[in-house]
Amino acid sequence: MTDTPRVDPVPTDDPLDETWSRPPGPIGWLKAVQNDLIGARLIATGLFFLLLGGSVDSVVMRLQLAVPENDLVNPQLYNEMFTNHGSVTMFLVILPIFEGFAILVLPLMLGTREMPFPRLGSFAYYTFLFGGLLYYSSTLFDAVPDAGWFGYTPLSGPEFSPDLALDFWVLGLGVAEVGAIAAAVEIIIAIMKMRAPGMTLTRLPLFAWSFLVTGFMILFAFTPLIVGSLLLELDRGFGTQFFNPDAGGSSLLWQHLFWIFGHPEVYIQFLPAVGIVSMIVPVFCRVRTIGYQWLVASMVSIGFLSFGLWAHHMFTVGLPPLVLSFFAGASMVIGIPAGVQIFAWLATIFVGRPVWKTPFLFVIGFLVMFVLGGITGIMVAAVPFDAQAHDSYFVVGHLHYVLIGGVIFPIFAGFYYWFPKFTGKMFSEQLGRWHAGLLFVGANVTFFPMHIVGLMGMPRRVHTYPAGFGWGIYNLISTIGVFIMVAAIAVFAVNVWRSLRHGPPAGPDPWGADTLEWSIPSPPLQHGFTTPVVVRSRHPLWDQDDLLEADERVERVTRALARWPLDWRANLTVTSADARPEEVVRIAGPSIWPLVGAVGAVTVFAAELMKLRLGALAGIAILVVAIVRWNWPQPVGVTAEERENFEREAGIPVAVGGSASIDRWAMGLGLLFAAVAFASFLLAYFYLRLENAVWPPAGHETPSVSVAVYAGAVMLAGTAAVIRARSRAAERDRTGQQAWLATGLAASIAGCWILARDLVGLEFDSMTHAYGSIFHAFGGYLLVLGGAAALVTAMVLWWSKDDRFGPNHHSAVVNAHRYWIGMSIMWVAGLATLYLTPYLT
Amino acid sequence: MSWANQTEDVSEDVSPPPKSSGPLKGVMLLLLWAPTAWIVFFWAVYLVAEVACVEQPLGSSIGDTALIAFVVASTVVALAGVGGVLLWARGRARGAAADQSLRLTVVLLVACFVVAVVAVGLPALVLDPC
Repeated sequence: MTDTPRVDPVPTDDPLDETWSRPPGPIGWLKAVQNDLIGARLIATGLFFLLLGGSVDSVVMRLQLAVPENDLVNPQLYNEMFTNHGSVTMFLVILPIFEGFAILVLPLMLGTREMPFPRLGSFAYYTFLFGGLLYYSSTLFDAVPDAGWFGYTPLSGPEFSPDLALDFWVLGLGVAEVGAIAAAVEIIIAIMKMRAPGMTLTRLPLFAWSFLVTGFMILFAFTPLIVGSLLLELDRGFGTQFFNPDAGGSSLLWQHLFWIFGHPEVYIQFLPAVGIVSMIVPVFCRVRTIGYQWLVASMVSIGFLSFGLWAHHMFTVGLPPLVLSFFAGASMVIGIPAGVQIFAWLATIFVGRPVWKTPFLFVIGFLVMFVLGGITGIMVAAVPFDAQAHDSYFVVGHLHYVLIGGVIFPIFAGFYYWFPKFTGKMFSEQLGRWHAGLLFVGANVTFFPMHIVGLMGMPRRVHTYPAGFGWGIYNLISTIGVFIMVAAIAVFAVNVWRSLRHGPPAGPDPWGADTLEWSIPSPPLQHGFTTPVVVRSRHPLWDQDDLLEADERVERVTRALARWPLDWRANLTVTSADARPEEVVRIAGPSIWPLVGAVGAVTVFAAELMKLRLGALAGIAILVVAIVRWNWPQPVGVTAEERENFEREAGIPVAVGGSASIDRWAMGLGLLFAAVAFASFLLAYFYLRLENAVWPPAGHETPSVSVAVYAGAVMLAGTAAVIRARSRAAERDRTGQQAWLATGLAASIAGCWILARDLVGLEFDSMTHAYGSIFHAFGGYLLVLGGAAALVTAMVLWWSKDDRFGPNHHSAVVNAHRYWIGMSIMWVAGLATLYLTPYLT
Repeated sequence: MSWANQTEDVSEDVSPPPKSSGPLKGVMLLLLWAPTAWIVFFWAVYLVAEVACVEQPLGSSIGDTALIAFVVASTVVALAGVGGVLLWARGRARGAAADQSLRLTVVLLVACFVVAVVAVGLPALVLDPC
């Protein structure tokens, strides 16, 4: 055991810090992509939305419910408020804050200099911000969403919500969902590829494990919601019939698509909290985590189990008893890994010597409240109990114990824990204690009585209630509680403001913590680590005498990277499982294009809101141009001799024009996103098929199989051509490579043309029956996949004219070929579904 | 003085430079086998039950019996599938399977998903399916 090791200053600190800093001035601020800035912006914007949607609305709603038959707000305003409260906290507060934590903390914790795709992170932030603003702009048009955060059809459909309110809800939050997925992709790749040498998966900090699982969950959960939102907006804006039972649609289809997102979303919000708590408990108990493997297993378990729970929100809609039992069983089993986590933390606290500082106080509050919320969760997992408690205040009490206790407390714990690292200032411990105490008391006073009043029969989402039911006193207590919580938030705000101005210097490691971010100054330099550190333990700062010591081969790499390059952003990647140095990659620098892309994305949604179809097309054009531009290869300030010298010295390649390993991950995740969306369309197609005894319905022609055969064959031929182009690139045969790429491009255009021509020429439209709706929408999705193939192929073909690709440097061609293979599988399966299954059924 | 200095001896946690976790495919195979087997089982029985209950007349004994038989058979297959990873990893002394930390995680995952398979499949023996 030695004193915590530090990373000493290196002569190249200053030039590297300058290289990694953002450009000066306001434009530079907009172009900035650094992880600390993007992470802080996400957290700050999330807290801002928390004040708007989480605090103001809830105070007004509690005032309204304080006494029976109150008329402070009318029913319509109350509907708008609970819709806003749920939507904002679920979409615009918790997840963005957690993703902000990840982007802010992960590079330092993992011992790397930056996230892998800083521009994608910037795009994620701007889309989240613009989506939130678009959603909130509904207030300016007096069209505030009022159908609940779940937007159930038919209430949210065109018949019962004909004005723009629900369009703001669908489209505004849709932009934010795009941002959430973009950030998730970046987080996954950072954890898999950008770690300190030696940080194997079994030494990965639990915070990183939690975000690795969460990132994949976001991809699997948000995508069905995006598809569902698209279908709802098509119903609302284009007259399709997906959710109209009178025309072959199903309102339950929306519930399935929503809750396939909605329940994993709870765990998407909870698992990062697990990660934060797992970092704080050992540090403040001065002992290593008990049950590291148990915690990893529990997080992976929750990640999977959470996708088998969604219908427990639908216990009362009339599902078959056996189906109910599947979901009830899975809902109860998920209590096992959650319980394992609780006992792992309790065991760690039990064997340690707790130091009762503010972050740890929030963790204790979390443990108490989350256990209570978890127990009531198991109660509502039982179908008979849920049938009684469904849509009552019992559920409101339960979910707030889970979300306030299980999520908000860890958010504040993490905020106080890492505040000194990123500000360089200590906060007031006394105010922190007041904050923790008031929030704990306030939350329990507010939400505990809701269980009682719920069991007494008070339904949720009612703007008032009659006197004489005995509900008044419990509601009054809840209202008092919310003011205690407001006081807690006020103390927090004062503490942050005061600490930023007058807080004492924090020093590198004020908590005596164990992970890498505490080895460097507070606040850190822009590039974090000048010399990449090496990890040989799960608790490197506790166990290692020297963070730079490694075997000769690894030390050659790390010391070389400290000296070169100094004028462009270089970062080390490692092998995914055992964290051996793999290559030096160039990280993208500041750019205005992520902002432009986000403007394009929000333009698409805003134009659709106003039914300006040309505006939406313009938005798509802006988005595509921005994405192409921010990915456009840039000249590299490195000579072949410099690169060869480094490669000889360090023994690993320098990938200035694109990293094969990172590109592989990026394309894999992109294809995963596309495949989940594809599966969502399949689910919608077959769900609607089940809802209709006759398919296609009377008056609808059966589609022509020959179209599927022609379009599928052309796309498969295109795939073969691009595969051939890859092998030509590997052999540095530029002519052959270009010829095959051009063939692939022609095939993608021809395939899309065949399918589009058939869709346009069909005798049935998309507005008469759900069959036509899903046929056109699913076909449209295939066109998007095919169009993306054309775009990707065209870009690679254009780049190939400069003789850019060589035997070991053609990752763009390899990625194009990967996309083609994935796309063609979906294309063929989609065509078979649309054109063949009507004959089979 | 770091707080860590006040802890017990931890030198055994500091291992040599990494060799233990093995290639990613091996790690992912071990970690994701049992959960994936469960999720495939869950979606299979759910989708079949949805289809069976829509297409069979309510209370049809033939449809019910077939559905129950499918769920029970799927449960048995899923249990074998979930536990299969332990058989695969047993005795392997190289690559990811040799990592003791990873092996414990895998055993825990298998245990959790054995319970999950049973919890989902068991009610088929006592409930009217549709």
